[in-house]
Amino acid sequence: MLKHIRKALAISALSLAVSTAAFAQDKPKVAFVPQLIGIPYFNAMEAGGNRAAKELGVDFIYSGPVDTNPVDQLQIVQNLIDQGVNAISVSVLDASSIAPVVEAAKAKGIKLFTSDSDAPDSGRAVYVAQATDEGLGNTIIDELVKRVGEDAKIGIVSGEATASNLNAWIGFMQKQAAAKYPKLKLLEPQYAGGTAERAAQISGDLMAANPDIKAIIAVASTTCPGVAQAIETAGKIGSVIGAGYCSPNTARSYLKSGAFGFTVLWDPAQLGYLTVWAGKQLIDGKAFEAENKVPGFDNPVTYDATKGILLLGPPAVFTAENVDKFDF
Amino acid sequence: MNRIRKLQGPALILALLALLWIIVILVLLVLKPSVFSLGTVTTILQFSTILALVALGQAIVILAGGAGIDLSVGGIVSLSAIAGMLAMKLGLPSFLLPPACIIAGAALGAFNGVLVTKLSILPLIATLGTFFVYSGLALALTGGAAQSGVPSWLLIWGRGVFSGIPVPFLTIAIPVFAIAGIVLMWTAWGRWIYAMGFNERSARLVGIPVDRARLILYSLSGVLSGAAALISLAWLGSGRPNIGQNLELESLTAAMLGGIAILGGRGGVGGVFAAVMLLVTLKTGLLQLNVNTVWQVGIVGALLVFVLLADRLSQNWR
Repeated sequence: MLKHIRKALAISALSLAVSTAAFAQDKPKVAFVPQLIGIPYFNAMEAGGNRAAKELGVDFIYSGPVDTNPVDQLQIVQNLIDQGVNAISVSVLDASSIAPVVEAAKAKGIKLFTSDSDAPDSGRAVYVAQATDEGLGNTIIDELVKRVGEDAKIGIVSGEATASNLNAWIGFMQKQAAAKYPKLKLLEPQYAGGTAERAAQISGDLMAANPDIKAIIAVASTTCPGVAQAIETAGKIGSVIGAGYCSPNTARSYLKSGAFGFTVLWDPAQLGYLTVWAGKQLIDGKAFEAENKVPGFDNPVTYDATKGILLLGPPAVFTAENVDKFDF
Repeated sequence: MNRIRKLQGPALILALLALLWIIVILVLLVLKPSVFSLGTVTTILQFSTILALVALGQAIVILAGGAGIDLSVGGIVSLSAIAGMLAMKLGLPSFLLPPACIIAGAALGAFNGVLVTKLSILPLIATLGTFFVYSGLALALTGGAAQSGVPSWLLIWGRGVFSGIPVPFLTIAIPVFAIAGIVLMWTAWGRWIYAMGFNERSARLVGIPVDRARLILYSLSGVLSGAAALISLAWLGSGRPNIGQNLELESLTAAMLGGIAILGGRGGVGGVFAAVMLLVTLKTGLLQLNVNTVWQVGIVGALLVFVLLADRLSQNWR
């Protein structure tokens, strides 16, 4: 027994020496915590973050929950704080849950900020926004009206009922419809959680229950394939058009088949890049200016000092014609 | 080595869990010495509190046998938190929020108990049903939105830390486990629970009021879930309709890992406590090492299979 212990101790001492050598580099660390790992959207953000880390000379940590559970996300953020990572960005699953960790981060002098999904009143350092919620909500309604006219019934299929970014977009869609297109009828949003199957089922039911439905909006990127599949299965290509916030790679085949008319999004890789850049600025103690020059960005990035929002740019509309120019 | 081989049942499980826990700590110590700070201990205990309470409820329900299981615990946590917050919005004075959560939990648990004992529905099916009813109701009542407005005096308790130990853990989790341990080990009540789990027929023949006891145990599981809901409110500062997500399976894992026999009648609360600590420490450790979270799910599963296998083998050695 004693011999075993001695052996174990020797091995641990050795690996300790090796690991300390490996960890000896002293670059500032920037972390990003997505809402969910293993989906193309956040993978693209990770790729952008890695590129930024290499170019800006920081270490990038990417870690997130396996399902959209706010407590799991909180635990990951708390552990990054305990590790002493210099700057932590979070795509917030639930705005109210982030408050305790913001306090913990402040106590340790760690810059905690949000990216992709915000928690406005939490005391975060900055919010790196992909596009304004208003811009996204309005764009999808405006583009839809161009295609189906003002007098139409439109279904909404969202992801988690608690995701604050998705709910904000839906809110602006409803506002835009009420203000600009009074004849437009938006159905109550349906929530599919994180799976495409459930989204397909919900969309199928929506079309069966509302034969006069003209369009379905897939709000979460995970619901896009489900909505498109349901339109294809129901043989309603041409009479019902899908639209949503999903990446060109997700929507490419549906855009070409006609099940989807268009999708609205931004480039998540650029967003990941900007997130890490913002983390580096915060660590260096540099203030954001009204217009910031970021390496690799064609247009300067605007900063709204009153709301604390760093904005990637206006949303992009992808259609069958331009989708092949993008790869994410 | 021989001494370990002679251990059986709860003692073996406890030894095994302790050993695994030490291994996790040692590996962490080697790979990342910076982990060891008071902050990490606080983090582990903070994230253990809710799981520990719910797992205890799960454990006593399983322990009492009759194919007992409570799959609705996550739903009870979500719905009790929401019920408490909504009651306050409807004019309940804020100092009554804690009892409101616990009473809501007790009522939901008692409903499970009635389904199982009075209507003789199989616990797996009854609580699967109520799981969907409770968690669905929590979402429906709120439209998925978080309910803010937890009174600030409650936050002081929920977020407080006393010499490195989170106050809710100190004031609720520890006393509850101590009481449960004492009741199970040294009172007639505890003996009844083991007896009815071990052999329900004999328990009935010697006059133990099995159905009444079981009804009370389901209600107690509800009370513990209600307490967990209260802690979630006090800690996070808002009531969230999906706060109990995944708790049913995590609590079941903790109870099984802690040596509670799925058929009832065997196991102790010490094992459950140790299992919760091991699970949360492991999760924290893997997070600190920045191991991909996808792997963590698999590792917890493998751990469960390993411990149950060890338990099984130890019975064959007899």
